Amino acid sequence: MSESGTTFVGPLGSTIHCLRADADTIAAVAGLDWNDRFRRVCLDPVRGVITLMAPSPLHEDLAGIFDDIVDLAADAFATAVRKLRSARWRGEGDPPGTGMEPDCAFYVGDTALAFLDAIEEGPAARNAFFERNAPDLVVEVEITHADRGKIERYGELGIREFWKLHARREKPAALTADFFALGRGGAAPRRLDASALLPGLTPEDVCEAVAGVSRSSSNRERREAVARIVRRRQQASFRLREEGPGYEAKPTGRRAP
Amino acid sequence: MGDSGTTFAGPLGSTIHCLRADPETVAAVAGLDWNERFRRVCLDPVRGVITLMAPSRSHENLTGIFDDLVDLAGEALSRAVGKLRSPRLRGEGEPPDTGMEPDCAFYVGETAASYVTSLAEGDEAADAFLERNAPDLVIEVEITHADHGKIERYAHLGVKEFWHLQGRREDSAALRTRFFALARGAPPRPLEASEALPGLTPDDVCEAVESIRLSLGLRDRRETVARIVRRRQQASFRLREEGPGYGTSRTERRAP
Repeated sequence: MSESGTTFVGPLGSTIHCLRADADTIAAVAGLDWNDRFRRVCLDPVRGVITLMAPSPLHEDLAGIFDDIVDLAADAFATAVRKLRSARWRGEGDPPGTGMEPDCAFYVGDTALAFLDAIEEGPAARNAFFERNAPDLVVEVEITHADRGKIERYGELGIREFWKLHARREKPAALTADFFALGRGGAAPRRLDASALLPGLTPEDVCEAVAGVSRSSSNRERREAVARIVRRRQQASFRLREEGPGYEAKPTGRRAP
Repeated sequence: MGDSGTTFAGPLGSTIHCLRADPETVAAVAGLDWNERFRRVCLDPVRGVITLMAPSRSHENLTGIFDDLVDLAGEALSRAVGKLRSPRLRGEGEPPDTGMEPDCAFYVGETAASYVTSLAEGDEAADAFLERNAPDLVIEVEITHADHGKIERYAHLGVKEFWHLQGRREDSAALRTRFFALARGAPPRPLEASEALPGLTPDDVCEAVESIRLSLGLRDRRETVARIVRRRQQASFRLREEGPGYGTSRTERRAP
């Protein structure tokens, strides 16, 4: 692709088209049925970007695995979680139809419980809840330079934690991940050694869980793979608390053998 | 609008959005139903442009006038005219659904007669004819800097003549028109008079637009255009009798 090009191939083999447009153009094109042609769409009037993605099978596979991992890890932590998949999220006052579509998104803990209450109240309450409450956790499995400024946008939308996976189509097993705590008001993303939402779970744990889940042939195997990692992390965390430094210290650097 | 902006207001008050994209992106988005939201669309993989227009009332009024004007001038000159309105025109080998949508487009003369024959054969034959044959005449009533390179694209598509109207919404009387002869691989050649509707000058067209704008019915419009065409034919006849040939400037030697 030339420098002036708008077509990219992501590290997982997805095809991505990235158009630059001003806020008026983005508001004008937001009413088109983009999802009729593109599985994943981002119409961001703030960054002035239209991103259209045809996800590769590997991208979709990883997104599905993360949906499972967060669900199963929360189960093991006895924390409520609600999968939101790739809903389109927009900020207050952003034009209808615009918004960001993360690879995976979740309500975790109290927000997940409150969301269940809204669901019980009916579709209107559920939709109003969506409008008022950004996901707690967002995961992106394939980031390219077309996504510049995306993490800050998630921060402004009110997302609390962001997981970014680094994977390549050529070496799908060689995964790394980064966790960030996000904040509004221009706060810079803060790198986390361990998740604050699924307490103690580290980027290395998640990568290990991806390998375990991807090799599993049943829900039971997936659950056991993730539960084993969570148990080990909880035990390590417990030992660390007993031995000295508090929870704020880096559990990844003091991992139990 | 800033330099990096993609939203423009045209001289006739239309709103235009212009996105730059490479040919792969243009081909990928071509399948969207753009016309559901935008009355006029250009998806050009060659120039790398997606242009989306919400035409103003002045724009639509003028395109309607030109549709009538060319039709009536063709009648007055005994030339067959096939109105195509704003079809999407694409070059050979270009992705499906991409293409240029001119404000007005016409087959004139023999092409118009052949087009009517294809229409009689059915929609499929007419579509195939349109695929194979670019319009003879294309008119754009509102050009902005988002249209850079558009005239050359029409030439590349095989359009033979291009009329470009320059007007402003604030001053409907101050119309100017320019005519160009187009050919593949050659720069546009300014014309003093139309070759598609022989002898008709840009000044004649502006005069006809003003009259048609204020006319009350088809009869009025027909008489207005026929009068202008007759006057031009008489002037042309006198000019031929008096000396200089057809190629000289008609607008400068106009009969009183």
